[in-house]
Amino acid sequence: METTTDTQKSRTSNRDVASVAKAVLLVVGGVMMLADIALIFLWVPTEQVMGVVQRIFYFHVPLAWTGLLSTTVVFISSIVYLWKGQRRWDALAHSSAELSVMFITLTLITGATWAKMAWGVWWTWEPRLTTTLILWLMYMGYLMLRAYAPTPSLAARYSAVMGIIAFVDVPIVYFSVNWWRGIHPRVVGVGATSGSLDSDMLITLIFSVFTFTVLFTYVLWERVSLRNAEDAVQGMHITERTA
Amino acid sequence: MAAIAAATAWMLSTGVLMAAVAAQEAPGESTLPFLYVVYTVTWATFFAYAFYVSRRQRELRRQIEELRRVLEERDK
Amino acid sequence: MTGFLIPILVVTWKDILLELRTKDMVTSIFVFGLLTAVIFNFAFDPTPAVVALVVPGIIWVAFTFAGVLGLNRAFVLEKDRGSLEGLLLCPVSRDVIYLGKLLAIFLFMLVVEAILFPVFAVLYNFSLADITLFLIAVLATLGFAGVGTLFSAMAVNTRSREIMLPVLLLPVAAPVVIAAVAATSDIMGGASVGDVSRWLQLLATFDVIFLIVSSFVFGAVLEE
Repeated sequence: METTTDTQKSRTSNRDVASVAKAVLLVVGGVMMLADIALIFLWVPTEQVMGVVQRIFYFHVPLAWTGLLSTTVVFISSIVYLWKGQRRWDALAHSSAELSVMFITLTLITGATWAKMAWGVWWTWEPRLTTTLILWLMYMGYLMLRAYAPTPSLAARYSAVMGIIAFVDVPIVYFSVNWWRGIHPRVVGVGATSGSLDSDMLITLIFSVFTFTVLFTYVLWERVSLRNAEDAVQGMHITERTA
Repeated sequence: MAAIAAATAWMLSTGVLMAAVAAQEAPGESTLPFLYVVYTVTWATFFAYAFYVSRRQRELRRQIEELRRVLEERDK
Repeated sequence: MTGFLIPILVVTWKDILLELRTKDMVTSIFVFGLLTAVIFNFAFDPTPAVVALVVPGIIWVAFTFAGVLGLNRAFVLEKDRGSLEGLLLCPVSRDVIYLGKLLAIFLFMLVVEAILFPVFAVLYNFSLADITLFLIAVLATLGFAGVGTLFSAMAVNTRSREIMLPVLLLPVAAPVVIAAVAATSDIMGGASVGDVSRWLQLLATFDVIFLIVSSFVFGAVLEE
């Protein structure tokens, strides 16, 4: 009896530490978000060529970066899951894949808005947009695979395979699309504005990237906790039914 | 309730920001709607996802309560 | 070396024997490939200038969709008859099963392409003289079949298996299609092997990388 209470106590204290850490992360993220919005809208100077709308840049780039970070997490946790077979790595991969789709969707939307503003059309088959679209399709495929797999363990294993293949494919896709579109006059990439970045703009951009990364970490953590908790309850449901 | 408060706060802040930015805008342009769309969609998506996660957490807590009740019944 | 090769060839031979009996995969790829190319003809006005522009695209879109159809059939027999368990009982490593299956599928696709290429050449009036076209076909088909075999093994176990395969395969195989179309287009435009070397290198890189990765993960796919 003593040992059970002890393990229960240590598990509870671990959970408390995690809750506090999550709360701290949320507060920090929230504050950074407010600061970031202030920087983007009130502090950073207006860019000369494109005017006020260039500020989309400070959303688009961090979103793309966070999306890429998210897919990296999927890749690594997929490998570890296939190697070790522990559920929590699958939870991490699954949660990160959901977030990947979210961030890539936002990257596409902000990218298309940029395209409309800069080139007058909602879409062009330029290398970065095209690669992002293919990325989106791959990770949607990941989520579909999870949904259509017959059992949870097959869902975990199959999607881990997809998580690995998709990530490995990204650079190849990028190169192939670049070479394909390279024949035509290269439309200025979304990253570049009128040349080099002014230092204020660089500071804002980097701060934005950090802000979105912190927010990503927080949401990922919450999602993973939710997934792990749901798995535990599923286990309990099953034992309850068979008991 | 928290959702309504959040939405209102966000609406107000957006209004203030757009006004501030509009002041800096070169005359004759009206590309501001694009910036508004980007800002709105980004944060709306974030909040929507956070809301989705919290809703599932609430459902989970309900399930745990139910399980606890069933186990207590059985132990009697 | 032969200890590794022979089991692979045995698996391949089993599939070839099956195919010779049923002619399942080869007919579906052939018929669908032909149909796609014919339907495309109605999609635009076939003047020589337009044809020269779109023919490489038509060829590879036809092979892509036909390939998907063929791959859909690749594991159906194993799944429905439960012969996959039998394969798993054999004392061979999982990557041997993967490579054996892949080799068979690759050969079937190549056979169909060998028939369809001349047919397309007649329908759309282009020359097959350049042997580089053969090289492009081999490299592209190997890459497509490489990831296709892996995804087919997964898709066959899911609900909505016919949808799952293209959803997974097509975005991942996009570089193969891009490279194949670009290289074919250049060759038909009079370029030499050297000019398309970067596309051939891209295809070769894709093939090597995904053959290795797929060999590693195939075991995870086969376990129950």
